[in-house]
Amino acid sequence: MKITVPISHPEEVEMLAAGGAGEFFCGYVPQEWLERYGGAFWLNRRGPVAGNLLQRDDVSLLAERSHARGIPVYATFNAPYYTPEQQEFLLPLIDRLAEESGIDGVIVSDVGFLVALRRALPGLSVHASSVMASLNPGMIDFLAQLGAGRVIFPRSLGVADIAALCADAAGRLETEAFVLNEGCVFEEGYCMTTHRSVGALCVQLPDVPHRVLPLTPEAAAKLDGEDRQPAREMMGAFRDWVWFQNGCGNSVTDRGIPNGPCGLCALYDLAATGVTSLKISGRSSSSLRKLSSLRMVRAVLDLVEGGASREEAAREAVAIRNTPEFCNAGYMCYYREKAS
Amino acid sequence: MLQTKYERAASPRESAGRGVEVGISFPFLAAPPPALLRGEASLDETLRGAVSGKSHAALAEALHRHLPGTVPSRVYIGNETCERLLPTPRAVGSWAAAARAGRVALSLVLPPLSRDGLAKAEDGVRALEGVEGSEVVAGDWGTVHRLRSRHPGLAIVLGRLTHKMLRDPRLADRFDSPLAPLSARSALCRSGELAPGFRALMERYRIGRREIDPFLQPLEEDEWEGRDERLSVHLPYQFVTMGRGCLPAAMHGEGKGRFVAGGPCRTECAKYVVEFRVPIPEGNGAGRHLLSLGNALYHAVPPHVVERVLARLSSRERVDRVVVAVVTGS
Repeated sequence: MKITVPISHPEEVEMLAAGGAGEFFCGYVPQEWLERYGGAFWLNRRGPVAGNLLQRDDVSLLAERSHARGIPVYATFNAPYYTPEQQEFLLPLIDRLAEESGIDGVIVSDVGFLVALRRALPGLSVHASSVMASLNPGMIDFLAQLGAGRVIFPRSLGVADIAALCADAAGRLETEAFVLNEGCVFEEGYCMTTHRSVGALCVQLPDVPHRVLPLTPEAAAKLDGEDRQPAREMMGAFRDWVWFQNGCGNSVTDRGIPNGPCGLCALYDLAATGVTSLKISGRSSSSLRKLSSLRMVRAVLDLVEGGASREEAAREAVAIRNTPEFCNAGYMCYYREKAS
Repeated sequence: MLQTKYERAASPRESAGRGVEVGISFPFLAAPPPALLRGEASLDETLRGAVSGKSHAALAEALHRHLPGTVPSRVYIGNETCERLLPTPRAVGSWAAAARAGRVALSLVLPPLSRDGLAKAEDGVRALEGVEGSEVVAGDWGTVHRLRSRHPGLAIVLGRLTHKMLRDPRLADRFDSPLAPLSARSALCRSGELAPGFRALMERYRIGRREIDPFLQPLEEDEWEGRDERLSVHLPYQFVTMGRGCLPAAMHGEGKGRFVAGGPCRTECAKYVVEFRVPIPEGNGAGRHLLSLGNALYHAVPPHVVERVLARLSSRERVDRVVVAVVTGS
């Protein structure tokens, strides 16, 4: 399995390659896009500027340095959709990124844009972003027929789901699953909100006024009685869930290890699914956060690939994190059915 | 005097006001009201008892004003965000028989489906296949692909969850602000569905109808009319987001079991909704209400958006159906 690592500057290549990165994914936002759309329409899921490369020369340099170390580079164009005019703008831009800057493929979310890319640039590998929310075997068949090169599974899938979909995809699509950082409270592919200007709605929700409304007279009676306390506990649990999904309030440990969504102790089982790549999220993270994330994944994956048992790998994952209280809470796990 | 589908004794499509069909969805009822399936329920009767009764009464008035004589002629079964609420094949068959007798059409609504959900959904689809006027509303492209591959004659509708556009109620009514760059305004008020790639998919999968939301931002004209397919527009709730974990189900969940896709569930969605009041930027304390209905969040659009949507129905060809969601419990 390769570890797919976020990157946002050519200077990060050497450090992350030495740390065991197997693939890089990056974002590129040209000045012309910013002039056209300002911050109103993000070219990819991190934007408009943070975490992105802004000069094509930097993309070229990043690809050159990566290739020198045998690491492919994928550029993300994973806005939920692009208008016809935006697609006309992006197709030649992506062609130049592939032909002149040397990127190895692109990551997209818009199914129509996937079709357009395969028609216009048939030699370019196109990955189906997690934002495409590929949840079932029909989607694997759909993507394979359209000529996608890889499916990136959404965060909400469990290990058993991933195993079954990997079996469906075998020989047709590469596969990628999340292993660390950047959770989503909702299903990303069906979230029609924006983080622009107003921040993430999911993070906001636990702190805004709310009320529980009964739909039936019987429910109204229960809400005054036996369901009064469960209704309160529901919102408390929601607050906790959102906090963990939001990187434990975007915190790091005193050793610089990022808190937040994590699949480290499920690596043994993930390896058994046959998934091709393990994704670390966070293009807009600091270089240090990227590196410490990569080191954690590398360390546990090396154990698994070296023959460690499930229990040994999980124990080491929890020990590396060194936040047993967070691990025990359960809400920090990507793969909660496999949580240690 | 109540007008009913039965009294009018017309076909479902003919029965709707000004050629616009009205479909009714009860996303959290275990079964649609029998009178509706029999074609014996008026619009007013149908909307009575909804969680927001006053706004539904206003909606019924607006529907009657814009679509005189309209009566419910289509019933939506299933739920667009939760596969636990997939009806059984037996239930689908029974409702299909009742609807046939009442000359009411049926739409089976499917949420984004897991592997198991897709298999169960296909059982429901088989129970509906061949029923006159029936259709299946798909919530993901994998389902579209599977159904078209295995059921070539099936009428497949693209559900609104597949219509990728921002709908954030905190901001969306500002998307066409004259302060925004023209290209940004345009991009936020239309989708990518008129691009050649998406058009090719619509043709390949023979999709004749797409559902859309009552957007807060005014959509560009092409988004309504620049298509080959027919449009169904939802009222009064605009979809905002969904998760595979569920807030109401957390009421009776325990510890780590909460918010897991497929976690414990006592169908709390049929008993409770959670209403949030989310502040809008620079709103001086003003806020927008969001309803957590099951595992999804919705926003009931304000009356001026309802008016804007309804006003265009009688003069435009592409939009020929309104889908009204009635949130009641069981």
